[in-house]
Amino acid sequence: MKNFANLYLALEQESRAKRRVDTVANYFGAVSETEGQWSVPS
Amino acid sequence: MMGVKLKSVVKKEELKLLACNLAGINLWMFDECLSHGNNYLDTVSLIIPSPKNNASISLSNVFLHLESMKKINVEDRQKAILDYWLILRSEERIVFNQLLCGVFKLKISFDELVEAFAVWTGIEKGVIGIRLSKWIPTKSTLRELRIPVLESEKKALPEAFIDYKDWSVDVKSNYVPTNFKARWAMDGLEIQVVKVNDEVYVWGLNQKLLFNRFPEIEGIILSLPDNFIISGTMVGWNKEGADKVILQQRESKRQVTTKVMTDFPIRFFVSEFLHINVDASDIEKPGKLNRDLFFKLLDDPSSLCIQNDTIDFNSWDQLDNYQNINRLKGSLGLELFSPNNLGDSLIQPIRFLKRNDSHTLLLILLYVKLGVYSSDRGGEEYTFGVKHNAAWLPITRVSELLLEEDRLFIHEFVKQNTIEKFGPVRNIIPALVFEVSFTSIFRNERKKAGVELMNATVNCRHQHLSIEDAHQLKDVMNLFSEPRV
Repeated sequence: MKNFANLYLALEQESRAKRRVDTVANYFGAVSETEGQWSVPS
Repeated sequence: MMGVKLKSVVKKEELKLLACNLAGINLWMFDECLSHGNNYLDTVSLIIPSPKNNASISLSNVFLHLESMKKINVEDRQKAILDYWLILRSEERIVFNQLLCGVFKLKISFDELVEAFAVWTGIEKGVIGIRLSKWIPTKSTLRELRIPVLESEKKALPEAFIDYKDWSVDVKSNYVPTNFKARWAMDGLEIQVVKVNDEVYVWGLNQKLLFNRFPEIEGIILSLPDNFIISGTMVGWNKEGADKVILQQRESKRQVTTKVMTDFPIRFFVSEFLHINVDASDIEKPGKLNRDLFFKLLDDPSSLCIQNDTIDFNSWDQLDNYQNINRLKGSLGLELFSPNNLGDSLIQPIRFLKRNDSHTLLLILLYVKLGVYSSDRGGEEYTFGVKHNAAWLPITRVSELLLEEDRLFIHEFVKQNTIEKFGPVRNIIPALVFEVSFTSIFRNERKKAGVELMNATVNCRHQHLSIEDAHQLKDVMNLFSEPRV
């Protein structure tokens, strides 16, 4: 939740395309450590 | 991230009451905050007292809990929300409260998401696009996005797009006309449509998957046999023919609904047809899909797909005449290609663009958008217009001037002659006359003038001409009666 909230705020503030893409890519890197739980259980 | 909204669990008014109770503030104070332009849910999030002890909560657990919250009674739900508020950090509450009210939206486009996954996984963009287009939020996992590229995915990727080379006098002397074929190059969106595995993929340049952008075309192609690629240009369409403005308006829509399809119709000019993984000897067999059969099979009563036929010619002069007499509305010019190379991926086909002749008007400079720095030409924009009665109406915008002396002159002029400022844009006194060339003109009701010039370039400033010498709106409208525009 913390990573996701930080991602939300970063995207709200960043308008440069390259930086936005890097921000999201970094987010995937951070959450991949918990990727087993990543999908939303139905 | 895929833009799918979750259903709301509570109404925002309920959160307001809960937050005001918890913070011990009166409701009028909350409303006072709102009257100063603050966001409703951000205000809720920010008035809640700081958490006593932060705990690490996973996003997937929050999603699970949100689902179950819909089914419990009001008291239990409010208690659950309070429990979350007491452990979530301030920034987490902003997200959490938006999720609760079903209004959460991450500011990211599909293309940015694809790009980010491609950066992170090292897998090419096209493959990521295919995988994300099939993403089911409740079932798909991150691991599935990272698996090695499958053969079926490779088949669904587009061929390389071949850039146009500029047509010049040299070409005429260096190439034999009979080695070339010509067809109209439309001013629109170049795309490739791949039909494999009972699926249709519409690709733009740089492996950009145009996911759900042209559902009417996808629907037609879906009914055809598998294993082919068609390439061509998507154009906007009005009753007079191709219309760039309509395409631009459609592209600006976030979602392509039935209304968008009706209001902003398109046509697909199909140029090439290629098989995927089919033996060359097989293609000639009767009943096998080829370009001709493709158009026969394309049972398309709405005529959304238009066969972009080749034009026969024996000499360059004959081609010049053809282009000038038969100029197709909404075309950039003629595309010239060597058919011998087509379909052979080992040889880069030559593809020239022989642009249509441009038209010229004398226009008045109305607005100047300055770059951030005086040397920053990238951010500059010049808007030109015409006079109509007593009003000045913009009809085209260019981002570059041909002559540096004109650019310097304008920047000096702006300093002394600005009427109004809108951010970096300066509305200047109409006094400077420029010669502007353009290749096409479209009606656009969203513009005050009702028309827009496309592919405009500025030739020069006419310092000895006054604004009375420039063309007026009626002159521009007269161009519509000329078939060649």
